[in-house]
Amino acid sequence: MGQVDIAEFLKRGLCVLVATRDASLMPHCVTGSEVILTGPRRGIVLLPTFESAPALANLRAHGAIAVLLEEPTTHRGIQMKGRCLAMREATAPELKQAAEFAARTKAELSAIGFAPAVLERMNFMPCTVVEFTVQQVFEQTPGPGAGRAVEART
Amino acid sequence: MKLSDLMHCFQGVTPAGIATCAADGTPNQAMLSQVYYLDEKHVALSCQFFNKTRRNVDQNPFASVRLWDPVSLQPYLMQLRFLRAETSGPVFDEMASRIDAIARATGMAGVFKLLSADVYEVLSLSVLQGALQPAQATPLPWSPEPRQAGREELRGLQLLSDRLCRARTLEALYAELLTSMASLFGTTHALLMLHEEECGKLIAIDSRGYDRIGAGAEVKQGEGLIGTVAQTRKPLRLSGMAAMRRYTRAVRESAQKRGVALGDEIALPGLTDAQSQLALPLVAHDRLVGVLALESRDPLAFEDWHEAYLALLANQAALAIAMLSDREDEDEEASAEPQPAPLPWRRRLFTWFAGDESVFVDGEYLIRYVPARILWKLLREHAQGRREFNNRELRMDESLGLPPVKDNLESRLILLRKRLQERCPDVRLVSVKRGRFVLERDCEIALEEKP
Repeated sequence: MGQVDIAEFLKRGLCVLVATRDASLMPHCVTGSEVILTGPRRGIVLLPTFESAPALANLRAHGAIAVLLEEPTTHRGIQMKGRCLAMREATAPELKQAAEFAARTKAELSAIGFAPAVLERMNFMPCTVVEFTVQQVFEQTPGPGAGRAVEART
Repeated sequence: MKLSDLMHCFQGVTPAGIATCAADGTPNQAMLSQVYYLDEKHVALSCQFFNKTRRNVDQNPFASVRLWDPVSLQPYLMQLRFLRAETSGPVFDEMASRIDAIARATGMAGVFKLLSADVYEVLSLSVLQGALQPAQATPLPWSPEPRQAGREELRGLQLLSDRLCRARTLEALYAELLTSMASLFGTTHALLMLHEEECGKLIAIDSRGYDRIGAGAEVKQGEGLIGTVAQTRKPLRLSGMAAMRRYTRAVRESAQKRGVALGDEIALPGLTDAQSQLALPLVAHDRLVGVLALESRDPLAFEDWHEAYLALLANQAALAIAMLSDREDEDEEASAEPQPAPLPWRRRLFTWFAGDESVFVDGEYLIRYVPARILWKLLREHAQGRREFNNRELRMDESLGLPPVKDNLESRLILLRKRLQERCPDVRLVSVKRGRFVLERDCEIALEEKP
């Protein structure tokens, strides 16, 4: 089994997408503002309020979560799967980190041709913090290896 | 809101996100390179690797797909239900053609291929309000002007049709076709390739918008966008090519890590930074005449209507080329040969390589196959004092190997003229009457033959 260093990967400019599901197994895709590793096999993802209501309802009811991190310039990607532990408001340091995360993401998107005027309009705030366990990690770079389970290097 | 209002989102300029859920309730999140619009109620996703997304929808058919507008980055959310995986039929064929063209152009043939076209019903579509701050009057990264529905397509079609009908020679027709692409349709980069039936290749005859004409460049059938269009005889449009290149590069690297053997990466013809391409087959009387390839740095330069509309123009052009190619109307009388101009000091050495039937000039490749045989005949007879030649004698000369019908002689002579113009402007083939031309030179010509 290969290894990935999630903490190192999180220093890059990344897009975050989060999957949840409801009682009928209908999945729901929502964007994330930021991901932070908070301990061994634990992390938080910030979900923007403008679209997070269905995802938060799904997490309250069922808890299953998948968090995809993808680097737009290379399509390198990692997926974490786990369970929601708690939901809460973001702290000031988390919001500061989220702003830095968004700046890196926008720099990546700028590198593939999006104009600053377009990127400035992207809105990630306000947001809700979802605490989750990291039970499984998968290689998500497109190609024949996508979906392969990998070990998170800590 | 209708699905067709989001056509920009289906061009593959920005990838899409897809969430699915396994039967045990575990969600999965992945990225998609492109979502294909089928109709107002259906979309198709390409299945290139039998991955977790596909395994999930086999168990539980629901999916949630997030799209982004490639100009404004406005996100949209579609809730979908998987209906079926198609492995043949028009939807599969069209998606496979596009993916195959990308794969061939990036050396990924065999690895990056369509397994199935997965058809989904669109259960709901919503705009994600609040994702963007209020808009300001700001410049956008590429042509932001809306594609107006009321454009003068009919007028453009009429003008081009008129110009093609008035062209008296193939050379004039090729020039009108390529020039009109820019003047009438704003397509600044256009390349015309003709089909050489004997060798099964496409040969560039003329172009507009590039640093050089590129006459004589060859593309094999099935190779890249142009070769694929020649093989399938169907138009093919690629948008958001930078995104595609990034995606295929990621797949390529992933495949290489897993030890999959890959071919050499083949550079796409023309612009190195093309963002969209449209190639149209030129077919007349069920015969492939050539391919017209258009390129742009605008990722959204070619939309659905371009494909249908420019295909009409391509059909007109193909018929006009076929008709002019078949004409045998040469003026009977030879013209009075003008006195040759005094020669300057320059000397050009032409070399005939019999082995691969090619002509080099001053050690540089010039041309091969039938146009090379024609040039060599002209040069040898010129060395014996002749200056004027006619098409009929070339057609009668069996040593040139022209096919008895559909010999494309005019086009071969145009190719020869363009190659001389690019590589050896001191030697020219100048038309003096219809079907007659003289070999002009501003240099001393030396000839040598090699095996």
